[in-house]
Amino acid sequence: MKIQNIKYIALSLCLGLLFTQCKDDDDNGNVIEQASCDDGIMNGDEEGVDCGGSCVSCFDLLDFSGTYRQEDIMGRPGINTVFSGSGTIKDNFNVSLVSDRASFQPIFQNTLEAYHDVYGDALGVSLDYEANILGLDAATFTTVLAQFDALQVAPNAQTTYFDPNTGLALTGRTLADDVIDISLILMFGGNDGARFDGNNGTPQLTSDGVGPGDRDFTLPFPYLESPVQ
Amino acid sequence: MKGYIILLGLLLLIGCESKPKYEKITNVEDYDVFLNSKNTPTLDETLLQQRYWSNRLDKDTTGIGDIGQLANVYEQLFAETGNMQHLLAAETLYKKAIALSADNFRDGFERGLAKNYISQHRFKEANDLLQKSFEGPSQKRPTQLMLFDSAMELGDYDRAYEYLSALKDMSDYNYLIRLSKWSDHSGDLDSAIKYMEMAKEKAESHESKPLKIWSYSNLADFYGHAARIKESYAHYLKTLELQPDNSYVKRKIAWIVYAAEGNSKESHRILDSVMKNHQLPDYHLLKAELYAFEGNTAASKNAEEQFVNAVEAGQYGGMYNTYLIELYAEAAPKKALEIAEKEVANRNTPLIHSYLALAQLQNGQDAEALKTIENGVEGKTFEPVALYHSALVYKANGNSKKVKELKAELEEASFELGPVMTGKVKEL
Amino acid sequence: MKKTKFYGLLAVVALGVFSVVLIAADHIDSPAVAGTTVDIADLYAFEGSNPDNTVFIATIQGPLTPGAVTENAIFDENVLIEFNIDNTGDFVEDLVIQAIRRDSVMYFFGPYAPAEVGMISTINRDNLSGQVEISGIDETITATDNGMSFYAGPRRDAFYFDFNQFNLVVSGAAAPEGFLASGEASDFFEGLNVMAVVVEVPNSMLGTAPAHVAGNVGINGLPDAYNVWVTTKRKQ
Repeated sequence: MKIQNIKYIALSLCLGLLFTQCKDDDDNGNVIEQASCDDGIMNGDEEGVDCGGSCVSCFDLLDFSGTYRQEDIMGRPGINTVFSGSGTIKDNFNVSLVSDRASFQPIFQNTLEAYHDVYGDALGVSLDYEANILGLDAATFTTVLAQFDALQVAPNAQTTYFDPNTGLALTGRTLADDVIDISLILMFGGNDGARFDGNNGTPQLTSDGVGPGDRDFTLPFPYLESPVQ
Repeated sequence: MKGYIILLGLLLLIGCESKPKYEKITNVEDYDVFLNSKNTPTLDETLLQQRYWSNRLDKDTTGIGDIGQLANVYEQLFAETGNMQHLLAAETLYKKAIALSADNFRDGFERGLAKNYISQHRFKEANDLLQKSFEGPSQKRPTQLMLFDSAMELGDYDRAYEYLSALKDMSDYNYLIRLSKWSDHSGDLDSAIKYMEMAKEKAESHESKPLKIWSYSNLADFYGHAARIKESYAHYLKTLELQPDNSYVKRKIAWIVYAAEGNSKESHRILDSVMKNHQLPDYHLLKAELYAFEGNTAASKNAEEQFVNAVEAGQYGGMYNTYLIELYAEAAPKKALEIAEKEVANRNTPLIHSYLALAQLQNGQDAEALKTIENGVEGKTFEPVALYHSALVYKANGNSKKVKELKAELEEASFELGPVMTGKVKEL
Repeated sequence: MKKTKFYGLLAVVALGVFSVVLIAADHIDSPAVAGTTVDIADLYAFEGSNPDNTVFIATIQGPLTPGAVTENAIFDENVLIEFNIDNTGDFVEDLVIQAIRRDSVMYFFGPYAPAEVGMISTINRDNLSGQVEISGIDETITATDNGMSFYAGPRRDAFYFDFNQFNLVVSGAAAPEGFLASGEASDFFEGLNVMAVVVEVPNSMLGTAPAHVAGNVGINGLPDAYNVWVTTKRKQ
């Protein structure tokens, strides 16, 4: 920095001090202890720069005005990517409302059948979706997926996405829930949940074969583990 | 006699004008700290990313998630080192990901490959790929944004404008930078700057470091076009504060030091520091110009040879064709014409047509050169280099009125053209 | 079977490249198409360690590789993260919990009945319920206020899935075998991070849950349940 600039800064600092002193002097006669709420410095009892303590609350200085428009939405895991089948439909889904999704149902049903066709073709047989372990046929199942796409969260019950042991289902989603396997069972498991489970020469479509590994789901708030370093 | 007096007067006038009006813009203390070639935070981080994704990929060579991430890392490595092998590695990986990908996951990789092709100046391939992707189950908007880019590169301006109109959204960074590019192409530099400034504000409000880096450096380029050199310099510095190892920006500062301040020695020093970590042929070309400015013809020729050798040794494809045309134009005009004809087929822009005209001119095809300019360049571009080529062609064809007009325009672009070119403009 | 995390994952390929490319001087490529700060990776909602509470977790911007990528990830001040709660069974939000960053702090509003429902939201600042300093990669800062708990910052991704094999299953390349056996399969999200917003709320603030929607399709006997979804909304 050039020397003359330093001089100017020094000068302005002096002026600033004078100004502050005068101002505080006017307020309460105290030239030392009272900090200013408009000096651009966090001082006195301030909690932020020129706010908090004896200045205006820091929250009051923040701007939360304006309108916000939806760009992404999610209820149950996987719905849009797995069932939309194209970028355009995916984009449309992301800016749709949960209560206005009737038009997505036939698309989802087509995609569900197309997944079965891939395996039918590979096996040289005709394959169709078969009503799943919840007893839902293709139309009903895809209606549930398209039109009721939210997590159902029961405040007065155990949380599980689906517990095959107790039959309890759709009361929320825990970190531990294997939502992939559950979704695959509902898509490909048929009425006993084991239609394409990889046994007896069937493709393995009811589990992706991975679990949570060494993730720890027993932690207190905020429940998620620290980031991997 | 009267004619001689006028000529003498003109010479005097030129003599006065040609005294370079250098102005001190830069301050070595502003940027010296960034010239430390050991300070490469961006590259260091990218190398960590490369190791991370390479390790994962070893286990599962069909994993499109890992392949795509690694391709992205190689793109960055290319930007940060100038090593062409990285760009080609990214191309291979994107192609692999596309081959493995299910229909609804493919378009992201297709856009990645298209961007890679654009970097390689393979504009037609980029355009074809994007069009195919757009017709498939692709996310339309990002694909269309890139279709605009490839259409502009191909000189297909009507189609580019159609995309731009379809994409209109003044709150979208991606739209604003393209609107800016369009305005610049249309010769409306004020609007180009205005929209780029709006994009910059978007980048700042998103607090996106990569977008801020991109906005600052591109805005700096535009300020340079507008001869607002101080603002240009300030924005290059802002870029370096965010990314101390940004070679592009350092080279641009080297240009300011040379073109605006006439300090070729300092410009050499900056370039030498950049060349330690970055290996693009471009630097030799700028060095050749600096030597020419210093009157060191031998060193200039030598640097030009180094440039040509570097281009030929690397797998740069047609990326340096315009420079090769320029270099070969005098010494090997046939070769220059050959390259120019190839390049016109690759991208049908007014700028490239001006290079074709230059090559035609050097091959004694003055009439063809004139036709090329009249049909493909005149009124279609505001690029100083294209205007200069046009002036040469008009001069050879005896159209002194046009030469005079162009000369006046070119003199306003003296910073962008640099002292050596500005000298040539005066000789027109 | 995830939603936008797939998109995020693939999008990074195209979105992550912003570097200015120095090539042949006349030519700077456009940055790859940007805009990932709104991408939702996951939504979780479950009973808290205090059974009278419900925990809502939204993760966004995934997946983030460890190191500088995670360290540099930030919440966008222009993006409102909104948990929507329908407690009447019509899939229209009756209550929202909103989270948005200002400087280094995440501010939380609600649960409250929003002035408007659907695509557009505003923030009623009178409904501030708490705030928390956004955590860095090697710290966990939480806050409690009004009976609620708050967290915002990077976390290890809890989601697990053999995404790479899923791609082959969908493309048909893995037909007819399908997914891999346990032990051969690999979890793509292992070792990756996400940005997380966590809020724990007393159930008393959420109203009475309606009859479970599964009853609509003949599945009876499930406990009363709210319908919950998360949106990201960008400032206009």
